[in-house]
Amino acid sequence: MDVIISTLAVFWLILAIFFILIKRGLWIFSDVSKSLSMFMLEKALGPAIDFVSGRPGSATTAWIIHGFVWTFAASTFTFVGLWLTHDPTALHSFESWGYHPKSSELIYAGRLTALFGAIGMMVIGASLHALPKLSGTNLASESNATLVSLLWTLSVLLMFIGSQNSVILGITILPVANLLLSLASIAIVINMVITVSEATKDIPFPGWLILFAVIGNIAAILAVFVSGAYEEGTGQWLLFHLSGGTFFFCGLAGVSLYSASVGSGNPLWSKSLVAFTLFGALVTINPMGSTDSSMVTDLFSLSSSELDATSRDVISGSFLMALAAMPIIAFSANMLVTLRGSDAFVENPDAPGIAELNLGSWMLVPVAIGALFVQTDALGGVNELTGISQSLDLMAIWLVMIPLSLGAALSILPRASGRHQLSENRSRWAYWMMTGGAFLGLLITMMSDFTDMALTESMAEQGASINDELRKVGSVMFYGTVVGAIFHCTNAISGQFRGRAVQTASTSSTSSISVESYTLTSPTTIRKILASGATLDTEVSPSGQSEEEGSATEL
Amino acid sequence: MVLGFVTMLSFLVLYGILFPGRDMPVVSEVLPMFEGVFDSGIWFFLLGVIFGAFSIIATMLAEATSE
Repeated sequence: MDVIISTLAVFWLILAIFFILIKRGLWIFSDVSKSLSMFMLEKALGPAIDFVSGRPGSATTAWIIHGFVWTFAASTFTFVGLWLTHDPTALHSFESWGYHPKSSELIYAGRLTALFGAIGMMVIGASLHALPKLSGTNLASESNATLVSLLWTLSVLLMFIGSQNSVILGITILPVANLLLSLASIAIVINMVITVSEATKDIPFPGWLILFAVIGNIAAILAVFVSGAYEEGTGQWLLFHLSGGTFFFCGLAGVSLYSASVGSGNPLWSKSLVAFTLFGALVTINPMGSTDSSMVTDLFSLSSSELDATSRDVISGSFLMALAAMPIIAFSANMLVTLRGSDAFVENPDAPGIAELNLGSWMLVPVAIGALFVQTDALGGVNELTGISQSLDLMAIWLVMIPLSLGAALSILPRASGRHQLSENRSRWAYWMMTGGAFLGLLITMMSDFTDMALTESMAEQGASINDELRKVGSVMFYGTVVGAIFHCTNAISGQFRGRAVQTASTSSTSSISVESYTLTSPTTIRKILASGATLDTEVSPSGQSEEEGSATEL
Repeated sequence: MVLGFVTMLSFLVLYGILFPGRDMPVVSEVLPMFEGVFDSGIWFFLLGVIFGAFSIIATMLAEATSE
């Protein structure tokens, strides 16, 4: 049976229904459902909702700060996991406490906490600021969104525990964590949909990317379960990649495009490319991520099935993954040109987050193309490149997704909280530590993977000593990421208390909305006019001024 | 802190002169508990991680209570 196309057909149908419901509402039941949903978000929670602040921006701040802390935790787990690959007994003293740390389990913990804790929380935090701004309204319930951040963090903590010890007191931990995460996701979706229903203007495409990120993830889960594909290896593989293409890719694209435009002061280079990114992300299969979809089976408590795709699935899957290169390149190109504006260089490289956004956009295309080869190889059952799958997956996380989400979070946090980071200098150090650590560390680890593959292919009896040395250097290099994450955490936390206050709300263009007219009151440069969001079609109106002294008006 | 460090070193030297060849009281009994624990280079990095984690917590507490 053709699993991929039939599941995707259900997925597209569910997305179409969601889209129609958002545009048209629920006919005469719209007001009732809106009031009921608001009641569920706030009053129904009883005294719990009074624990959190409902001031504007509090939800975004809470989600982003949690995301920073999870970035530190995820980098630590990944570092220790990478170290244990060449020195498996390094932490054997923990065994006296009943804990047996393993490389694979710690890297798995690092992936879970990076994806759902760091990236997930920073993307949602940035979305909670960007979506209301793009809709010209306020977030429906700041209090609920702030409260839900605690629930989400609890679920990620359970994910970490479940990755180390899957069953505690007879309870399988990861499905419980997934249940809590789903509950938090539903609350966020309802909050966003009610926010959008109050929109005072047409929602630009980055807003739709954010909406389809949260809705698409739910649609992907529904589609795989409705079509019955969850029992097959191909269905589980597809769910892993549909979640990657919706929640992670669309979410990252939405908040990154918004942040690139707001942070640089340049209007989006091409609205058509944003629309193409959205359409392409939903109709194709994103190749980024691991070839091993055990994360899906663990989170949904499914029996793991081997990836054994039929020839029709291999053809359709490979074709749709190759097609995904188009929205990925469109998004990357749009980001890079938007950051540069009309110049050859990034307009304001010292602005918070801009360097991270630039890095993520650069690294996206090579990592995605590498992932395309590895996934096609795995889907076709060849499995010649499976050896580099883990390193490539870590590269996608630490060189594409974390920089993009971190860049968006750094750019949006001052706008939401009203205070800048404590030190630009520390922020720059953190960027270089994280970038250098992740790039060199994972590149050297991948070199070791290639050596391993070559040795396996030649059926060598003994491993090469250089391999362990490479893995050791790779893990030590990756430690820079941990240090960078610590810098970012302390910088952001201190900035909330002692950071320079944001003087005025940003008057630069927001996202894809360009200025239609520009009033020229004093001599200025064309660069400043363009930086304020004007395009070539903007009408510049000189405001008449007189240098003569004023006097009383004669009646 | 510097004064404390210098005083500690002075007393250690004095103990070595007064009781040559003898183990340090308490410390010599505690140190064997850590035998086999710090036998890998990863602990050097983990100490940095622990320092970082505490610096994050300390930053939160200090900033929240300083105003």
